[in-house]
Amino acid sequence: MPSTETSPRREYAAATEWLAGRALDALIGAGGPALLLDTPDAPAHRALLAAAHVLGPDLLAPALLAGRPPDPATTKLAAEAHQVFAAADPAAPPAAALVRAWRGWTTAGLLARAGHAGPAELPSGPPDDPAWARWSQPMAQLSPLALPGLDSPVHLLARQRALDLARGATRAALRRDHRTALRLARWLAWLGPADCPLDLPPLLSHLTLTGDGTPRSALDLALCRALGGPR
Amino acid sequence: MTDAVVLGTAHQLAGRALAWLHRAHQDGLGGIGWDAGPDLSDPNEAYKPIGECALAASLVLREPVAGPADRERARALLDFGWVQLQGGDLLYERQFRHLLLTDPAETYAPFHRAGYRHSRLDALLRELAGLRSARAVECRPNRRLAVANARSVLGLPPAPDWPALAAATWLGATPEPWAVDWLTGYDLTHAVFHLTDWGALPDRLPAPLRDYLAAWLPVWADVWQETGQWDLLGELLTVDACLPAPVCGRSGWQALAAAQHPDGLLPRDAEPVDPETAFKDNEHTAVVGVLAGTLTLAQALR
Amino acid sequence: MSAHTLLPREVALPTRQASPPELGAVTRLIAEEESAVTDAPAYCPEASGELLLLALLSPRTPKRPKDPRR
Repeated sequence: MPSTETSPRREYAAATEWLAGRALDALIGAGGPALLLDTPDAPAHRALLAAAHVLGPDLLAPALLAGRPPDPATTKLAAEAHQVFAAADPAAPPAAALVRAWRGWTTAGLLARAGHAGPAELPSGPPDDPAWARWSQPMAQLSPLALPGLDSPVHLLARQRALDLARGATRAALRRDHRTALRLARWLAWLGPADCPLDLPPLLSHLTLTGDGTPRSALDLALCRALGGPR
Repeated sequence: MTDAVVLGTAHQLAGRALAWLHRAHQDGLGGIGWDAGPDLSDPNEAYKPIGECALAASLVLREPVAGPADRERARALLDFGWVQLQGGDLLYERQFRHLLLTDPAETYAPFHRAGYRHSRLDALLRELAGLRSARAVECRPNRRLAVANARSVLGLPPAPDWPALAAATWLGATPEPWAVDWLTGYDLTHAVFHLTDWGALPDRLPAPLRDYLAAWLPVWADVWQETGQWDLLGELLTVDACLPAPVCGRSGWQALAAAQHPDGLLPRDAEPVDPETAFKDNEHTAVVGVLAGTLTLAQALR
Repeated sequence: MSAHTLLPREVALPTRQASPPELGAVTRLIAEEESAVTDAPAYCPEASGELLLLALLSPRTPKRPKDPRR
């Protein structure tokens, strides 16, 4: 098999962690909500684009939470990533394709706010499996949509099925699948304490201590905490 | 309203578990030994299971859901147990020798519910019920509920303060549902069993605990179903049957039914069954299967 | 605005559309599946608080009297 056909997944995964670390710094660091991207340890540009597409709305979250427009470099990276990677993956199973469609649509919406207009067709419908345990899985994958000021049929469903999200987070924590628990906790943080069926701070503390310690998880945790703060 | 698939599954599973227990007793298993004195070198070996079998059988007779053949088997299990307990003499001797033990009353309660009586034991238990010492015996909160419900079934004073007893349990704290462990899973099921007198009094469960269980019971059932903890899953489905209306759906029932062997043996977990110890290892799960099925059907009739 | 330039090599790269393997790689990172194996709480004698209580506080079990007085 020629080398161009091998999956670049490992490289993209590493780049995603690197970029999540930059977003985390922008979110909680002293330097403000601009991402510091041109450092010597930066991944190759192609991998950086893939990482930006994987993080999607999370890349723009530090600015969103700071109530400012995203910095031009981050916006440009997000826009290019969206342009290069937003195409449908012909090999994706339908559930994964739906998750990609929603994340892409959300990123496109945030880019449009920042002045990068692009085609953004509303996906066919939100994941709607009536069984809470199965439904919570695509919702965990859609956790980057859990940001203030965003709204869509996915968000409407999240509000309507708050208990199912809390059950999913509880189930994931009991299975010690901390990454999934954290992603669902993100939705619970987004709902806010009045609408969250679970006492969230103890779960976040627990996930902080028992999580996998990756930048992506640290970013999710920081976003959970930021969502819990004043909006 | 309980799903018809669940009712059909519950009916079949309970009937087969009951038949398995009954057949094992006919084959000479489950006996306590004729030379057993009140001190019982290992009360968990046969004495405790006899009480558990009696409990399941007494509820098969209490609820108007079992057919004549199952009612006959339930009666036979109780008769067998009562003979093993020497017509209640063993319970009396044990209570007489060890004033502060609670298990004689707890074991007697299901027999009493099904109409068995031992007059000297009745008198002794009435006397002990008046002692501050016996009432103040220290035990874990869900065990305290077990004793309170046994005394209530036996008609012994005083009337328990159910809300206070409930509040002292793990469940009563409505804890973080993701911070539960396997043993605490059993603690919480038992708190519900005793608070509701095995489903007969769902309203004795304080409303906040009913709401709490309605939210999180499906999660625990799902998590322990995935790991094949059939005994604990059966207890959780029994809890579901003790609520005003079920919250768990059919998947747990279908998994439990799929785990049941053709001869009715309900394995306690997903480990291979050792034929040498199959009865002892799995008799508790058979009792749980009878309870879960019977109380699920009873709940649908309430 | 040079401060906002991403990386020097960006300009040289064509914005080639993602290939199927590239799309597959991002799909798997975006739609990351839940853990395939569960590590749910299981029976563990050490988890019983009673054992600890017994070890720390309770007296050693004395021998049963040989000739119980009745």
